Amino acid sequence: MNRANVVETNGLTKRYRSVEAVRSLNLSVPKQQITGFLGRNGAGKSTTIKMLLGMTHPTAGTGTVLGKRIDDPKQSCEMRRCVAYIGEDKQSYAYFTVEEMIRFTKSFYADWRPEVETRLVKEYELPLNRKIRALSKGMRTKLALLLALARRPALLVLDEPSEGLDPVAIEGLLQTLGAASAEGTTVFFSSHQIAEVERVADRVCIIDHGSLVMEASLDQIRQDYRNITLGFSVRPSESDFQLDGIERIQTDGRQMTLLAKQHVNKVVERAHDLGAVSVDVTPVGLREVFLASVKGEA
Amino acid sequence: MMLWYKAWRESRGRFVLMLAFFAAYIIVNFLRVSFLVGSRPSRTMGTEQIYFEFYIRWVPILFFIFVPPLLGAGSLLQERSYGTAALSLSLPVSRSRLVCARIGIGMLEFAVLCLVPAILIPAMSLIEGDSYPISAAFHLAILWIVCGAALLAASFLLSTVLAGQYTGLAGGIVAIFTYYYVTDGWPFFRLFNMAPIIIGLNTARPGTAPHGLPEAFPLLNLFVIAMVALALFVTVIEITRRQDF
Repeated sequence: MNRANVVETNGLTKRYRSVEAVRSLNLSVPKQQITGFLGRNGAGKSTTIKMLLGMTHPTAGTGTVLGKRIDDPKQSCEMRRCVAYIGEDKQSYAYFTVEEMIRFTKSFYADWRPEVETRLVKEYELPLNRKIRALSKGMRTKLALLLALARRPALLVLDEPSEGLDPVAIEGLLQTLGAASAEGTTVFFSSHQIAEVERVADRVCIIDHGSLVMEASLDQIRQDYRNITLGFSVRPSESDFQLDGIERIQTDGRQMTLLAKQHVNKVVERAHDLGAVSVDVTPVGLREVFLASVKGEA
Repeated sequence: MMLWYKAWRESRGRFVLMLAFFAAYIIVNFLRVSFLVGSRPSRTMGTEQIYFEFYIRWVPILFFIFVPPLLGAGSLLQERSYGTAALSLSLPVSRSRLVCARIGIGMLEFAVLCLVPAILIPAMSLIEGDSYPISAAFHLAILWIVCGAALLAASFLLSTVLAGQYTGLAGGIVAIFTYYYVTDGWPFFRLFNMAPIIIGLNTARPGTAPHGLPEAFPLLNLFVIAMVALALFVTVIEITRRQDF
């Protein structure tokens, strides 16, 4: 295992009868970074997270989280001492009050930080005596964050954390993730909201149909990828530009748009050779890269 | 300890409801029967009638059909329908510990409910001028606890394999009905019928025991029933360990 990674999987696979939810996933999450796990609905993000945390048993492959094997119940249990998890629906036990939920959770963690608990209760304005069933989703998210952050976890795993939250709550959540990372916590969160991944993540992993289709830092994406728009006097042929590193080609009449990871100069040169009347090279955002990665499947 | 507290909070409502229902049921019926026998020369029910009314007629039937499925409802699979299974499984405890806490609380609650008639029937009989022996009442409570453990374990098993909030509960009630029907009606299965043991008889067919008192403990039968319950509880733990959530 690479000590710089807190999560590593090798050929991780999960099959539900004939459906392969996750296929031979080789994933790595580096230490003390924020990694966004991006994919469409049903791409296999939640199943991967559940396998990492020992909730679902892999059909094949291996994986480690914080150096502990995910398929060994004993090691998985030890690993969960240092991992905080916030699920998509941010559910807590509805019959507990906020205070009881805090008391319940802290009883499992020797490294609980009462001063952080007190600060966050105040900051989030959590009503200690209110039953959890009476809390809004935003409040439940704040409670889940308190329960996660009051323990200084080595790894914070969130599954679709912004789901169902209003923009103000999402902003607060993203700031919290940034602050947690600054404190040394590795953050791994799944999402299908490209904007929020782009806003906070250092690194992104894109999963589609259960397979990892891209793994790169956002800086690397910004540096490597280019959008090339070509204008021709006659309709161009896509086959002229099908080179290595060209992730996507779209033709609309006499205009062609390419997403290039490599060979930008070669494409520009070829376009001039083929009589292009206009050539425009621009940087791209994560959105274009994501759409190209899951191309043709929409 | 907090896992036990969680299990208690999850089942507390059902437990309190059953406790109140059975206490009220016994008290009301005791007063009703006392009123009916009030015109007799003896003006009391006597040990035999108390035993017949409360340990053979409706109380055990209602008790053993509804209490085990109600207390056995609620597993990690059913927590999934409330959206809290992932939260429970993300705690740094093994699945076995999560299940054991539920089984432990279920058994404790069941034992307390078994003690309700053991306390109320002798007490009510004293108030009404009778004296049903407290030792006999506790003797029957022990029989109820051991036999009920097997039914409770079967209910836990059903709620572990049947998803949905009420599927396990409904499955448990149907299974217990089926069990009574099969073991009472079909000669081959009578060997597995716990009904005579529940009412304090060591013989195969239920009937009125001499003087309305239970017979001596059928130790071998109780041992076998306890082993069956244990095997079912172990199965529940093993299935939960292998399940995907």
